[in-house]
Amino acid sequence: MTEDGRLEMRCREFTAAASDYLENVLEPGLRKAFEEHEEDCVNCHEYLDQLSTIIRGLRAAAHDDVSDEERAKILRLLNPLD
Amino acid sequence: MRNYTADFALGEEIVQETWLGVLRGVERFEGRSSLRTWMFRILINRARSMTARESRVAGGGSLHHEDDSDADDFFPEGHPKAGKWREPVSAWPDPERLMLSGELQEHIDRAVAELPEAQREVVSLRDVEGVPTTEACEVLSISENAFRVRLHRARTHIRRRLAGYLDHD
Repeated sequence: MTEDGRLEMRCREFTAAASDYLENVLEPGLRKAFEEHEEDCVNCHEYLDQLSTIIRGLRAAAHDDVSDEERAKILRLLNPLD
Repeated sequence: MRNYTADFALGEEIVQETWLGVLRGVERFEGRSSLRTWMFRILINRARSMTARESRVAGGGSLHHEDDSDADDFFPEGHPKAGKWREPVSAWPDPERLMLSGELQEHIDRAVAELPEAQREVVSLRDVEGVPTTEACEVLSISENAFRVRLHRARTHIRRRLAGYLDHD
């Protein structure tokens, strides 16, 4: 906590919360502290960027052998109510 | 699926086994979950039993790096800079170019293959296949909390490995 009672986050806590942040499951107080820290810290900003790059890379792996169109068609067949 | 196991041929075999499982079991499918969830569950079960069989055949498990703790990256408690990065986090060289060249993919695949099975399952469903969290938890029969912890560990491990390759480029 800072003197004015705000939740303070250090780099170590930032990295521990980053995956949850990207999943959009951080509770609002933590989320705010997380975003404030990211604005102030070049290293953590970079860290978050790297995590996002990895997630995009992982997602791209699924699309290697099936086209987006085919993929959507298959998923619709499997789950027509979606 | 490609990312699920380290071995491409084994992956193909698991997919075939999954389709057989679906065909054999479809009459018993009671619609309590969506067809998609049910199929993912068959896939995961086949993959679990087949990778277990493979590692027995190979005479041991794959290399697991259980300790994915980031603690060493930061100044320790009691230090004036406690909790801050010891080394600056350097920007990776042009992620878009890496992505296009397939270089990023190659490093990611390698890092995923090293993950313990429980983490690989989570990252394959969530990040590779894009399955929503609630559905993935249902497929794996784990709590959302356990799911988040595994996802965090898996992503952290992959980032660490990539940083190892890319920071020295």
